[in-house]
Amino acid sequence: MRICPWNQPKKTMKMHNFRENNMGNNINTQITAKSMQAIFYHAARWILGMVFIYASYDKIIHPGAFAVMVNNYQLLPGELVNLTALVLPWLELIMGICLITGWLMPGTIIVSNILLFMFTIVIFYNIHRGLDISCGCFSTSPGESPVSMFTIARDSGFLLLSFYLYWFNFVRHEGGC
Amino acid sequence: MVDVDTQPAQIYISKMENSNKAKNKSTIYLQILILLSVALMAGIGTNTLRSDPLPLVQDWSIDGQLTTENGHTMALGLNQAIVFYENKSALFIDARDVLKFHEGHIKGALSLPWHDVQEQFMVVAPRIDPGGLVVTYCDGKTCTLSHDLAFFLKEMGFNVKVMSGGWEAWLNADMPVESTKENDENA
Repeated sequence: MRICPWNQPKKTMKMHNFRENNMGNNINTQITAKSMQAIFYHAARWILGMVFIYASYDKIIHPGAFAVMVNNYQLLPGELVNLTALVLPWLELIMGICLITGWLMPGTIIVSNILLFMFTIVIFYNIHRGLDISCGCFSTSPGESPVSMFTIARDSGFLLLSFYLYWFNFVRHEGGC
Repeated sequence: MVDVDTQPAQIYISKMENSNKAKNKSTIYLQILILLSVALMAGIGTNTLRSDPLPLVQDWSIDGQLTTENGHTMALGLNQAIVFYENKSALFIDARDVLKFHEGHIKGALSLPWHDVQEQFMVVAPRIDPGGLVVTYCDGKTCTLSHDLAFFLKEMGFNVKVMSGGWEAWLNADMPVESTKENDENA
């Protein structure tokens, strides 16, 4: 059975590293590389989790204002705008909680990658076609600055973190989990 | 030592691995389903508990968006806008960002970028005739800054219409335009 972070107790993880490090020839390098990967994995999990929770807060409180922003993207048919505006912020909140607590982990990582990839592409597409719209990423306030290359860079950063989680969970072990 | 034929064990291990992989895949699908279902229930559930619930399906067409609760529409066609412009019976307000305004705008229009509305409104407000008609516009049909600005100005008590064809339609109609330098904005 593959060893995956979500089905492995913390103690076993430490023991596993300890044994592996003792068996290896290059002890120091292995300790550093493995620990760094694990530290970065947990840091990325927490950062992304907090970002998702922070992003959901204002949108959950003001679904009407968020629906206007979703509609401004002009990508969804009118019938799906309100449903998206109601459900997406809750999905972000639940994903944020899952990322921080470690619940439903592999599933959350997949959804997080899909969502962040979609957000980045959608913003890039709207900048490309010259739409001057608010991002609606973290705030529903009308004063929020319009989407720009900075928004894309920021979202790409989050996407990289999310992709790292994917790599750590699915690719790092030979053959995946 | 007993010589054990390892083949059945290998087959067993490979079968176990395959079944684990399938199990993990189905676990992932199940988790994604749980995430989506909980979000769906939470989103719709909390909405029904709100004092002002959002309708699940709403008319998001331009006319639908610009129609107020009493059925009155704020949409203004290009021809009507031209009549108002020529009669000088309306004040045109550009909702696009300042850079675009400087590059070119309807002659005599004021700039009130939607993204800076909170800072800029107090600067522009004294120049708007409270009893007169205000016409907002932005890039074109696909842009909604003028809608947002129109609702904002309406809430502030002004009589507002939205030129739904926007700057693009104005240019195509060969109507008077001008460009300004940054330091003489709204001059």
